Amino acid sequence: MPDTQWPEYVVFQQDKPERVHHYAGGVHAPDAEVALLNARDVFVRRPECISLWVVRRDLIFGATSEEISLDPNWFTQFEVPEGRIEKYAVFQKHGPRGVHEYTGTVEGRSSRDALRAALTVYANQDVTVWWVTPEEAIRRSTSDDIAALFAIAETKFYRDEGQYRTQEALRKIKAMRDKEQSSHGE
Amino acid sequence: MYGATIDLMDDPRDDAEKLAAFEARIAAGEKIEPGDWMPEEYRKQLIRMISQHAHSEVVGMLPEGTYITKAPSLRRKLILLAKVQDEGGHGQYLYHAAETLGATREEMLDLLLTGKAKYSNIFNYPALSWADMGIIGWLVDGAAILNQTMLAKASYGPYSRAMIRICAEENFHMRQGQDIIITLAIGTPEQKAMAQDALNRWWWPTLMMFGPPDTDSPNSTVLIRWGIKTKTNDELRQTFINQMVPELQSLGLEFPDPDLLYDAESGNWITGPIDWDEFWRVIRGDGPMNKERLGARRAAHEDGQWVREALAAYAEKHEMTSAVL
Ligand SMILES: [Fe+2]
Ligand SMILES: [Fe+2]
Repeated sequence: MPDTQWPEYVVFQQDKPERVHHYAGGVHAPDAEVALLNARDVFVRRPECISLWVVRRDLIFGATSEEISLDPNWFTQFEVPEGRIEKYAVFQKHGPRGVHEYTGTVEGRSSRDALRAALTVYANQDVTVWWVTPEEAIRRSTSDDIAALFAIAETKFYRDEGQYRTQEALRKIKAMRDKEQSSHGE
Repeated sequence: MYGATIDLMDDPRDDAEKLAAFEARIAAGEKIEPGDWMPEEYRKQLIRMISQHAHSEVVGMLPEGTYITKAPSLRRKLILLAKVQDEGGHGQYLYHAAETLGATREEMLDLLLTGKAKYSNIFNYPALSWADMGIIGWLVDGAAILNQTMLAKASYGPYSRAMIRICAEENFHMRQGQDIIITLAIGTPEQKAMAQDALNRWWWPTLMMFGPPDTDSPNSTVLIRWGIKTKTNDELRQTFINQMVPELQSLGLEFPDPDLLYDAESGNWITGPIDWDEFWRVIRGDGPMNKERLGARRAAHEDGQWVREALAAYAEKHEMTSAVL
C-alpha cells in the first residue's frame, strides 16, 4: 500500500543579501515547519543560501503570459469577490529559460485579483509565467535560523571539488613512473 | 497551477501542428517547461527516465552507506557521509522533476518498493572493501558525470536544471574517489592490491552503466530526436573508456581485460567484448545484490513509517489548535 502523499511545498531560496529569492524546487511535508527543514536538507548542503521560503503549491496561483494575452477578457471578465484585501507576493519567470524570482507585493481580494494588479504594477515584457501567493501562506526562515540551518555548511570544505588535487597528483605520479622506467631501461 | 492546463482531450487534428511547433522549439534549443504542450510519448519517456534516475540515486546510497561506520579516518567518514547525503538530495531533485510531468511521488516510490521500477544496474553489485569506495567514486560517479553533463542540455527544463545542480556536486564525488584510490595505489603493497581488486570487480559493470549497445537500445532514437539525450550509449561509453584507462594506468593499476588496446588511428582505447548476458541477467533481478538492495530500501521505508505517522499527527493537531486559538 502506498503512503498517502503529503502536500507539496514550493521552495524559494536566496543566495546572497543583494539577490532576490528564486525558485529552487519542491519538497513534500506534513506542514510548513517540516517543509522548511526538508528544503534545507535538499537544497542547502552547500553554503550558497541565506534564506528559504516555503509555500504550499496549491496556494500558488499562476498564469502564463501567453494565456493572458490569448484571452482578451482576462483583465475584465471576472468578479472581484467581496473578501478582505490581502497582501500577495508576486513571482515572475523571465524568458524561456529562467526560473521564478520574487518581484514584490500587491494587494488583492483574491489570487486572480492580485495577479491582475501585479500585471499592471510589475509590467515587464519578458515575463513568461506569473505566480502570486498570499504573503501569509509563505513560511520564511528567520535570521535566527541562519546559524543552525545555513552557516554550518560553510566549514564543510571537503564538499568542494577544489579541495582534491587529484589531477595534479596523477600527473606527478605518471612523471615519476615514466622517469623510473626510463632509468631501468638504461 | 503552472498556469497553462494541459487538455489531453484536445482535438487530434491540432496535434500535428502542435507537434511541429514543439519539435521546432527543440530544434531552436528552447527548453520545454511543465505547462507547455508536449507529445504523450515525450512525457512518458521523461517520467520513465527521470524516475529511474531518481531511484538510482536513492538505491546508490546503499553500497556506500554501509561503509560510513567503517571509514578509516574521521575525515574520510565526513566525506563519505556528505557524499551519501548528496545522493539522497539528488534523488529528491529528480523525483520533483518527474512530478512536474504529472507523476506522483507515492506512485514512483511504490513502483520502486514493489520491485517494478528499474534503477542503475551497477548498484546490484556488492561493495567488498574500503577500496570500493574509491573505485565507486572514480568510476561510477565518473560515468554518471558524463551521462549527466549530457542530460544537463536536455530539452525538458526541470530535468536540465536538476542536472546542472547535480553535476556540480558529482565532481566532488569523483575527486574524493580518486583521492582514495591514489592514496591506496601509492601506499603499501597490500593497499595497492586492494585498489587493484576493486578495479577488477567494478570495471566491467561500470562499462555496462551506459546501457546496451546502440544496436540494441530501443528508446535511443526517440530520446535523441526530442533532445532528451544528445549522445548514444556507445559514444558515451567510448568517452568514458578513453578518459579512465590512461588515468588509472598512470597509477600502475591494470585493467581486467587482456584485449584492451590503444587504436592510434581512431585515438580510442578498444576493450574486449562486454558480457551483455550478464547485464540482462542482472537487470532481470538475478544480480548478486538485487534482493538485498530492495530489502534494505523496503526496510528503511517501513522503519520510517512511525516517523511519518508522528509528523502527520503533529501537523494535524497543530492545525486544529491554530484553527481554534
Ligand atoms: Fe548523484
Ligand atoms: Fe554521486
